[in-house]
Amino acid sequence: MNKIKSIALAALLGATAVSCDDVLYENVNPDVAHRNTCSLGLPVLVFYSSQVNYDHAEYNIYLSQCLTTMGKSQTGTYAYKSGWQFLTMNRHPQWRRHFYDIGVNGKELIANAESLGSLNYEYIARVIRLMSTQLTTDAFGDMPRSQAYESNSPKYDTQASIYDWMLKEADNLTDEPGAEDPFYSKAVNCETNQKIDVSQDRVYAGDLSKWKGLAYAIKARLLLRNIPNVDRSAATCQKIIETAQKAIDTWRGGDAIYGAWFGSEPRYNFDGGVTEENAQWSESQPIINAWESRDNRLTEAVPSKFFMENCLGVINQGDELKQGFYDKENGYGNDPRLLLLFRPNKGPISASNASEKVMLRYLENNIGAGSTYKQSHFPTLYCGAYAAAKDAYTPLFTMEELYFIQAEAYYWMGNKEQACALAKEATRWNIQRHLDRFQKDNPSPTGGLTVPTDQCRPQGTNTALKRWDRMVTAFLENEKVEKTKPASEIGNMHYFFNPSQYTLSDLMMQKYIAMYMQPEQWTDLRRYHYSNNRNGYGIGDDKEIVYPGLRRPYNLYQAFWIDGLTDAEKENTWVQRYNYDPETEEKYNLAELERLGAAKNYKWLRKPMIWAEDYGVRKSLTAE
Amino acid sequence: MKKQLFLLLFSLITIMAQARVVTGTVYDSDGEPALGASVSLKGAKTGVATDFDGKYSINVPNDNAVLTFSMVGHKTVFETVGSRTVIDVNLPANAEVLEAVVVTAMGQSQAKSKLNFGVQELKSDEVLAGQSANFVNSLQGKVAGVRVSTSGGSPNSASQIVIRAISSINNAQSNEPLFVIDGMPIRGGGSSIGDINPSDIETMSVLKGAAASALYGQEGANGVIIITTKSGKEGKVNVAVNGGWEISNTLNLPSLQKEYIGGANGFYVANSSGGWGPKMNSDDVYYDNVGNFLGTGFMQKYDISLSGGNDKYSAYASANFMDNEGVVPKDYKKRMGVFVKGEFTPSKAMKIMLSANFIDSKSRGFGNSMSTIYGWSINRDMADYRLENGLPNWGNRYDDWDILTNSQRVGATLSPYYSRYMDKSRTESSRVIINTSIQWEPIKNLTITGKFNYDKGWSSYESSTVPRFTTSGKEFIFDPVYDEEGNQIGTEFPSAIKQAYDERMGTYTFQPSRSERATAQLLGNYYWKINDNFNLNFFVGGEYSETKSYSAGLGGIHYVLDGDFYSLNNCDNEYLKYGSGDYNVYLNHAKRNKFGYFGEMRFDYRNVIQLSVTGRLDGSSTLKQMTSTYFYPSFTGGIIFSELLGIGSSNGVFNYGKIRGNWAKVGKDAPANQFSDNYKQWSTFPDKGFGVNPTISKAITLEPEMTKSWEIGADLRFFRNRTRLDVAYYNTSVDNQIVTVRVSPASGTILQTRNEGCIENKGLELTLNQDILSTKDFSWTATLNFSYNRGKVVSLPENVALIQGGQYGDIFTVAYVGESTTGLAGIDYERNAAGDVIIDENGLPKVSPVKQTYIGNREPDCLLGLGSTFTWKDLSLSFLLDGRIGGDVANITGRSLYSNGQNALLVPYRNRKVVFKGVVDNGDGTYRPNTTPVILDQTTFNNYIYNVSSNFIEDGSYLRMSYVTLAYDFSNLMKRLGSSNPIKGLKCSLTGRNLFLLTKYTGADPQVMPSASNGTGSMGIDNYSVPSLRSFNFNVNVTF
Repeated sequence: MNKIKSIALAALLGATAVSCDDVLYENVNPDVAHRNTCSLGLPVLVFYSSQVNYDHAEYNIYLSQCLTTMGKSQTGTYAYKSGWQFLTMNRHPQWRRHFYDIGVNGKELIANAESLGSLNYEYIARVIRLMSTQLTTDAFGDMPRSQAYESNSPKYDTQASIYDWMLKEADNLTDEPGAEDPFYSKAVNCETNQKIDVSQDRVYAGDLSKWKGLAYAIKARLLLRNIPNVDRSAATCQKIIETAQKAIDTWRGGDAIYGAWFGSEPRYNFDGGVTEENAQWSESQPIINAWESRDNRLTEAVPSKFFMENCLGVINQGDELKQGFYDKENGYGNDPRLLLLFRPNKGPISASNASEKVMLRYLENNIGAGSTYKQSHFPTLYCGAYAAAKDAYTPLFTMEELYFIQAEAYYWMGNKEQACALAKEATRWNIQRHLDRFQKDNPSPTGGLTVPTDQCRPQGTNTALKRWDRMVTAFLENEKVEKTKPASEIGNMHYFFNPSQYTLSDLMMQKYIAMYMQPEQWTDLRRYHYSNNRNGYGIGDDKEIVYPGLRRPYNLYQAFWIDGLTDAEKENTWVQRYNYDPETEEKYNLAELERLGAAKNYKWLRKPMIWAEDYGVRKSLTAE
Repeated sequence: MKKQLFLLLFSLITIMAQARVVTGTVYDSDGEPALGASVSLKGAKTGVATDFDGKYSINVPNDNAVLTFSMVGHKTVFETVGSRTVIDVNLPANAEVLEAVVVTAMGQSQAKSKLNFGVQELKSDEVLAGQSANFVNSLQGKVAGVRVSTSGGSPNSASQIVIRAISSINNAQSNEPLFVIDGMPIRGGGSSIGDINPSDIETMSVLKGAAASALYGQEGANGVIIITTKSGKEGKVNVAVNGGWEISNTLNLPSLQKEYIGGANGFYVANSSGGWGPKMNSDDVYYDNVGNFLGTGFMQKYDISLSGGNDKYSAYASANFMDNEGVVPKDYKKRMGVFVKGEFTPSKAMKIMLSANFIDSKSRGFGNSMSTIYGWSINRDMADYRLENGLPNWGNRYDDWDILTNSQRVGATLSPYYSRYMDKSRTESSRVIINTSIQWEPIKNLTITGKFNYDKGWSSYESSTVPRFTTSGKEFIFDPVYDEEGNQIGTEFPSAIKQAYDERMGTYTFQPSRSERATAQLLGNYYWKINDNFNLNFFVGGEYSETKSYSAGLGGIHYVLDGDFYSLNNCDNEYLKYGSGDYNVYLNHAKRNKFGYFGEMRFDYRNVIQLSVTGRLDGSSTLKQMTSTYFYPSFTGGIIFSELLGIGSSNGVFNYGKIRGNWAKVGKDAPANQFSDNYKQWSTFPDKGFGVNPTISKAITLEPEMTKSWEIGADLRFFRNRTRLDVAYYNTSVDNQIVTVRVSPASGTILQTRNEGCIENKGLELTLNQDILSTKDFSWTATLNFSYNRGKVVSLPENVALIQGGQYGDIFTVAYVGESTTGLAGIDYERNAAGDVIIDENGLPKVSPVKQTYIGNREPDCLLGLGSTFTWKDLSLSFLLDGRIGGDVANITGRSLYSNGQNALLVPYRNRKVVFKGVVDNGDGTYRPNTTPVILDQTTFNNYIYNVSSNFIEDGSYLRMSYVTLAYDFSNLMKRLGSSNPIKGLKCSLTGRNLFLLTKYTGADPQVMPSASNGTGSMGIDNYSVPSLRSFNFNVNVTF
């Protein structure tokens, strides 16, 4: 009997020992934080606001035919810089950046802010979300918004409905009359706001009045989408001008951070340091994670012929003696920004003739370089305001863009003189923007330009400052150049700022240059249907060619962009959008993609945005 | 005539007098009546079998007749009839025959004839056969349905073993079987189990199906490999000493060209590698860089064991040492181990066992790093790697250093020799496995067992690299410094490459980790003999186990102090604060635990019919936020039909037949920590802060993964057991697959763990053992293993086509819906309905825009293993042929060699006109064969061949001479030397491994993987592993 008791006791002990749920460990990773705070969440979100601008610009600068590479591959990891074979590309960072890094962090920041009663955090989060939404929908078109984060397969909202939401959200964030839910005053006047300092918000140190300017600016950009394809009416143009002016006034009011002209435009200033502490466009090529971000790869990039010849006025690359800055004596009217955006490099060391010593070498897009050429024969691109240094800045919006927005609206209102004046002013300060960076890297007590002699041609004995001033003045005041002179004398001289002969092309080509390394560069190209001499897509009543010299890239992926198209069709068949991520959207939201016709369909890439459809097709940006 | 009649009558009477019936009872080794034992006249072709009570009746011709008694698992007994009419026989157990008692789930031992599921057992000598450094590697071909993959020929190569097929397509879930030593589960899979000294293994049982391993729960869902270690035997102390020495070299290499130097498009380009340049000039020197780099490997291993005991105590102790130097310079593994096991039997009712295994290893691996070696230009000597000052000789790779940019210089490719000989890295690991059990039999037929296992390992990886450049940075182009007037006044180090430069000025990393597992079990077993016909066995138990681990890392860059002070304390402080990159600081903990209650009831009817039912209730911490407990049952049944039907005993062809079947369900929990929000500190962002962590998966809801399986099988024996055939057909489905997938960020997560879809495995296993010849001095036996499996993804959520595993460029290992669980996806050409590649009018193939087309199945059509042993007196010769039919391999290595112009297979075609095989669209729905030639230059190759993944999927069929062993046993000679000779046994063997490999695969070896990985796995991916080896091993075994 004792044995039986012992057995029973052993069994009881055994059963008790293993017990039940209570013995199970808490299933939580001790090395991971499981909550976040507003004060620690905001700096991450603000950083991502600069990153999302960079993400778009890094694609767009190739898609806008501004930069290209030495290769001529039809396929590859970077379709946006090669043959436009997007469908096999693995993840586009912009999608993830909007929905996850900005979307989820912003969503949780808003929730935390509401629970904390500190609405200033929520305000900043909403402005950034608005900006990110605009960038993302203008790259992808339809996308989840109203049902985002509610399931693994959220419905895709139409781009028109997203535009409707964005315009309303902009009104809410600026307390515009008629706003459905004015939030600016509520956020500013919230008594329980916690202090936000520069360590959390290095753009504005928590100053909501300046963030409000970004909401105005985004709205101006959205309204501009009416031109030229949706609504060219004077009323709309006037509204665009007024909205842009509100942004300008907002940023120029109060303590202007970056001087009287640039005012307090939103800049994410980098300090430089290690990895992401460096500016995204800088030579340190920071990358957040290999799988979620792309480095800038300017080390492998080459300026395009379109950008160099047609926009910046470099001519005759076969004769280095005839290259250089504007020179009244010989009439070559090149853009002063050439020396601020590029560091010229000589050709092959072994070259025995002048033609191989070209210093500002460039290529047609995706035409490929000869096998004897090296990257080092092409200009260095780590220059200018955004790419020059690790401590450069990424602008969330530029003052020049606001001026160009107004100029474009004035142009369509028929006021070409005002358009020309605004464009000239914007150009002047865009030159200054890059010059500021140049001078920061090459400081001079006199405040003048200090250009290394080996980078400045033709070499002169005048002081650099005087020469620079003369160059800039000549470039901006070039309306006196006679249009009738033969091309052999004036090269491809542009009549940029001649108010009496001002053209849409003059305006948009200058905006194109000013939007160097900005997402908007590609948007403008699409808005104007890649209008060029080859496709003959004229804009407006005058059927003006907006981007003369622009041409389709060479070696486009044959199956998508060549086969089955006539020559005329090819010239009008350009990439209009990114495809949805094949790794996630095609798997988990295929039904939505099929509904849109976007599933594994390369023709989806050709479908224009609602603001890039042919004139007359759509009467409203927000109507379905 | 009368005399003749008399003689005839006398003879008949005599015959009648001697011919008679003999009866009796045959008992098995347990003393139980033996059912189905064979009784026959020696030399006769027919005989009888014993009935349910072990009784038999047989006619014998005369008193000189000899009866042969045999039964599965027992030694054959011969009895001369003499004058007896009743002969009872006790058949002793035969531990050497295949059908011996095998160890099954939870340490239970059963006669194989009573098992109703797939199990295959290997004895000690079978485990050792082949003499692999990791005995797991030589299981391929020895056991039907077992598939072993290795990551190449390095001593540190990973090994992965899969029984039948994978059950989880989740990258976070292992598909390797559970390894059990002396009844207790231990950590790790095929790689870590290889650290066990194979000489300590007594038997190894492979439990294949879910029913076989149902009692083990989720960890047994992929099968179980049960290892029983040797024990001391009662009697005199035995001492055994083994020594083995082995040399090896590469079996195959990818075919590399020997004509072209680096460049592009057939032209010389400075600083190029690979072979896309022009042909070598007559004054160029050819260097066999690959051949020179891969040398001869040498392994030596020694072990000694002592064992002995008496009726109360027994003990076994062993020590072993192995030093394995690979074919790659400084690629080595040294291992030593000590194993002790003691058993104490204080009374008839109690038995106590305690064992401890300590393993210590030091190693330096090479990884999948053959890329640089294969790509080195053939006109440059990779071995000339170092200058006199100790810095790299960049000139052996870059013939024009001056034209490199700073970025190119800082990222310049180093000769692999340099890092092998100049840098240091070492992994040191220690492991302790302690097993203890107390077995108590308080009343007759009731056994209570308590077991405890503790398996703990420590490991540390420490590495340092020496500076690649001078401290002055003179290898770089300095930036000019200007004065205020624009005049250059000096130069400064290029700031843009500062960090990259610092990372090449010396690095140090230290990564310690620890992992432990503790398991406790309480088991009860009660045997109830209801009557002579019916037996019941009850088995119940409870189990608790927990695993804990941590891993940490410290790293730094740029040694401040010159010289040989390679320490973290010599790294630049500026970088120590940054927690990212390769030289970061991290600390990760992991822990999980679970409990289980389980039970089994076995029913036996006269040893002819066996039925069993099991059930297990598991609780897992990984599902604590959900329903953490889950239950699953299994049922098995088997009938020895040859006895029920009375067939098999009356003829010499078929003498035993059993059919068996089972159905089982096994649950499997989830990866740990899936249910909470995760934020990380972005310490590298300008203003730091915390944000959502995109690298950690999150689950919304999860259920346990459930494996359902049924299996039927048969055990058939012919020609008095000389031919033994075991066949099994199984069908397994796994529902609620737990997978971690990359979902749309619009869902709010990047990685999400969820239940998705169902997979199915169907397969057949066949094992045929044949005693071909057996004479006094000569015997010849053979074993054939055959198996196939068809793994299929039955369903995934709507619109989801695949679950992705690893990525190798644009080739993905995938589980593809409607296709294989171990498939391949990538880019293919556009094809017409007939599958022909569509070619355009210019003669170039059209590349499909679809990114993840299903392009291959890594699962073999079937696996084959043929082993045979010839024994003549004391000489024996044995071999194992291992092969497979089918099983695609993604030749990533070969693809890359094509891309860089080094592949010899490209030479006949490069820069020549070729016609792509395919068809041209006539535009009316018909196609014509392509006849338009194109020039296959580098650009064309890269755009139209290299870019298409399907071009690099190859058939992985092969036939391999896994090993051949010639052995001579001098033991008889030792005996003849007399009792004064201390040597009782001496055996020498010579083994050749991988003697040949027949395959159409163009890479080095189709049986390869880059690393052991979970989910759909990486088997069938050839990605720059160290090539597999051919080796020759000499082994001496001495017993005292």
